[in-house]
Amino acid sequence: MIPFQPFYNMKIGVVDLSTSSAEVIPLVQERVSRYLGGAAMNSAILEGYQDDALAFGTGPLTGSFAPASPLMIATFTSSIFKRLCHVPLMLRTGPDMKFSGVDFLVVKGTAPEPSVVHVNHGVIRILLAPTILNMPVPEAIMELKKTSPPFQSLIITGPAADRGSSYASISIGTNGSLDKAGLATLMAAKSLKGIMLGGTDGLPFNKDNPAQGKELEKIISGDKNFKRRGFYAVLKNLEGGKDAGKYLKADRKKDMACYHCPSPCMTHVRYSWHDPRNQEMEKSEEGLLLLDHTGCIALAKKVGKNILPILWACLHYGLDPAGVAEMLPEGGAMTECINAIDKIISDGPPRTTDVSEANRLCGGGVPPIGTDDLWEKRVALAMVLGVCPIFLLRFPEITDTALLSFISTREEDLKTLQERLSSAISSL
Amino acid sequence: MKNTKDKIDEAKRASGADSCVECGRCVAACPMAEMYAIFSIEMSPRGIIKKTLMGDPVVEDKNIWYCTECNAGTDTCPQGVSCRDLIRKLREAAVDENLLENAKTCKCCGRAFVAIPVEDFVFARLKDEPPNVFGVLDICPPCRREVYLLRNA
Amino acid sequence: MMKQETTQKPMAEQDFSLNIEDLRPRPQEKKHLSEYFMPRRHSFIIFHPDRCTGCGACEMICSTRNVEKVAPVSASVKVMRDGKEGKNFSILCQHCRKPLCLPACPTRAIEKGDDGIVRIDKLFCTECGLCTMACPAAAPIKDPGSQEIHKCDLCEGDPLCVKHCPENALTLTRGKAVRWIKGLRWTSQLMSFLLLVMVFVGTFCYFRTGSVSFACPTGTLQNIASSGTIVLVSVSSALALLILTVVAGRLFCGWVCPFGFVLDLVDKITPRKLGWPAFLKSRMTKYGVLAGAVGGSYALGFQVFCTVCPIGTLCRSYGVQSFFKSAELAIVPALASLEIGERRSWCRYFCPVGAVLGLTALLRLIKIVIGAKRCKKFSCIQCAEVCPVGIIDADKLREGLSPKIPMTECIMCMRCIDRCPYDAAKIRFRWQKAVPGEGRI
Repeated sequence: MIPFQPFYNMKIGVVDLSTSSAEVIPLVQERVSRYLGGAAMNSAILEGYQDDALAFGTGPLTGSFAPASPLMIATFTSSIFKRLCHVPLMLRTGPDMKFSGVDFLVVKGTAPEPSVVHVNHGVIRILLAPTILNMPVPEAIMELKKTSPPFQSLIITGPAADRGSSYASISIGTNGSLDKAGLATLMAAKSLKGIMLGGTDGLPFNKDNPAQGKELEKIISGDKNFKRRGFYAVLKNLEGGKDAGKYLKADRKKDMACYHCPSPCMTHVRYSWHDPRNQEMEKSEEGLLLLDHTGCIALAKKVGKNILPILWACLHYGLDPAGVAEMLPEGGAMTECINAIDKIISDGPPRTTDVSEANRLCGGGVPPIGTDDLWEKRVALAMVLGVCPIFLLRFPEITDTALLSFISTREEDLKTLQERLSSAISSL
Repeated sequence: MKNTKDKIDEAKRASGADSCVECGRCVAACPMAEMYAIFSIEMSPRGIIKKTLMGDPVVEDKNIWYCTECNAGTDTCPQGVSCRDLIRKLREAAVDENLLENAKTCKCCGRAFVAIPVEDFVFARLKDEPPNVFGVLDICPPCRREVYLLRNA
Repeated sequence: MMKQETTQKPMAEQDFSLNIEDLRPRPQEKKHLSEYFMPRRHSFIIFHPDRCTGCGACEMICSTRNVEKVAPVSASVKVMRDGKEGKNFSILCQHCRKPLCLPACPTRAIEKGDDGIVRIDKLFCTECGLCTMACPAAAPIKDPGSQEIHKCDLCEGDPLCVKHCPENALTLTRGKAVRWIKGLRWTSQLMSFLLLVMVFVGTFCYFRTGSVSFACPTGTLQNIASSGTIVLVSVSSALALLILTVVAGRLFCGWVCPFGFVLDLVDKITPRKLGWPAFLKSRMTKYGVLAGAVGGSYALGFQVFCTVCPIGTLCRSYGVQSFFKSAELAIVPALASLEIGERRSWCRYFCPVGAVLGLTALLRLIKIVIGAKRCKKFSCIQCAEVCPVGIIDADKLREGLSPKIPMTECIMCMRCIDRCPYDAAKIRFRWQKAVPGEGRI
């Protein structure tokens, strides 16, 4: 057993929705030594539960001074991929879970009424939320802000999930997510509308970490990919990305980064559009955060210049843009697209996605940056350690040793950590 | 809906007011003495606790609205009585009964965020500032940060 | 044996109470003489919203200093993010020139040190939160757990957030030297006074015929009107001043004019301004005076205004004095006494030289802009207070809009630029649209 102390509370939260009970149990050090964390730990924890349980977990580096450390991993049996799947959730979800007192959260059972789970100060509460059923995501969030205890981060399902659509995707706040594996559908099947993370505590940290973080940032600032930042730059390097980028014309753009990320891969855009269903209304200004590269490429192929309002509709209803793109007519006009979306929400056919081994690792959300064999390694590394997979793909010069040294810098620890890391990754 | 008496009982329980020995340490630590020229035993933490324990009508009393909720009294209390929690619960009871004339509500979110005597104290201290500063004081700190964001970003 | 006289009141009636003045007296604000020559340059942190990506690294590192843990809610800086508009802003204490939290604290726990840093003394802080209530940006943050108030203290001069921001959105402004232009300007004014009044006597005006001089443009106009002839040499020398104005605005008024120097000196000894009634305060009056001067010169055949011009009087005053000349000199103090109404009243409302330069300044190449987004409008507004011709609209600044500075009125003294601690007041070319603080988003 290695006495290193990764950045953890050493707590697991277990929520049983059927009995409306929740408890927080300690996370054993031995388990951390064996699985390290992230997706590997999630799988290990889920072995003790039934197939319909889902686990939200963080990695040993999530929330720490490692660059780009926002990751929360959701592990569950996907109804689309028909096997165990891991979905990366970025923005601030991972750190906020840690700062709410738990490192891993297991949800089992089905709630009798639509509920939300609130975590803060190591205390988990199950709150009834019948009013937000079938409400569009932005309004549901406003409602929750008014009636619930305060929270920093929120994962929420949209009306599409409530209607049972398998094209549903969860949304982190109003920003959407990389959920293409049906996490929202599973949550909706459990009547779990959302998870609210209070995030008001803190964790002790390794005093060397801030300096190590700055070192790594210096290393990557020499990389030519460092200048290619923001959604559009990352998009251009993907297949079909250049064309998609052409259609994503916006009035104003601002690069946004996740927790402690020095090189943003998301962009907030402001655009104006005219709703064709409502001729009298003026052009309305909207703003949304572009973070789903593969989704945008898929959508752009189908709808061309109408992409931004359709994307907004996906965020609004909690839909996966890539999935929606499958169902939209080629080169569709706006009205056709809107009708198609309405149909998807109300009685959409079950989704059939092309299942590949690689997609199981990340639920199909992480874009194919870099070469294929490197891709799997880097994404697996990210999903175990709890750092952003897109970041690790863009900057291959960040080695696993460099990341592991955030946990411990001692030679003997590093060797053991390396071994554990390899076994964790291979267990995925 | 609990009635007022139950709410006061719960307030006493939550704050531990029954353990008060009237030593007066809370009054010594209380910043209200510096803030208000009319500072009296009536508005001091000890006074409020006594009034509550005696069963006098305290929810309608204006004196519960002078406290700044700084918790200095709780910190010094040898019995661990939390005068702040008591005052908070009493104020909540007052708000529930719609006795809002001493609570200032935020123009943006509508929540009651400061007691009017406290705000008058701040105004008095800032009297030499240009008038637009007082406009800012009509909104609660969280909303004020949102306004600052939208104006300056 | 002398009986000890007890003049004390009985114990019960004595007033033993101490008030805050006795316990924590506030030092009087004194201005040292050195303030005028080497004014203090206090550091503080400027935030650039166009660069911020909302990563929250500043909160992380700040909280490690406050609570020895990574806990973004316990930081002294709060990152505000707006989902719809796509804007980010880090709110932290700006260490205002006149902090509002300072008078609001009931226990006087807040003090502005000699290094300019506003600090909360935890010994006296009762965590009441009135500082947050008084601060227009609500910069002191209450820790939701421990209820402590966290407020930026610039990490005692070496801020961590500045070092850790990956986008350099937070910068420590040690570089901007404030109040250095003032030294240059006073020197320029003094040298101009000495040269124009005592050395090159009378060379500014065009009231002395025959000699080659800088010709005052107003004098040239009057000369042309009165004599009906245009002397090329004098017109070309008048052009020198006009070209300077086209390039740099009414720089002459602020940096060269000897009467302006006299007015600035009078300003220093008359700090209390009485103000003028509204009907006198029209900026157009000076154009009327100009028109009157030229018209009068035409009608009467001699340069009307030049006889009473205060600038001319000063420039021609040195040397042997006759009785009439001495009497003439009375013009200068008479017009300088207008200063008791408003600063540079003569320049604002009456000076025809200023009027000509103002008209020329319509062709100016540069302008002064004040970026309201960079400006900390709640407690600063020093630029509006210090502007001698009063053309900065303080109300507009407080609204958050950048005021348009009329360059025909601005005397380019650059006091606003000199004073602004936040780098919001700057000189720009007239065609540049971007205002400080409103960069690319």
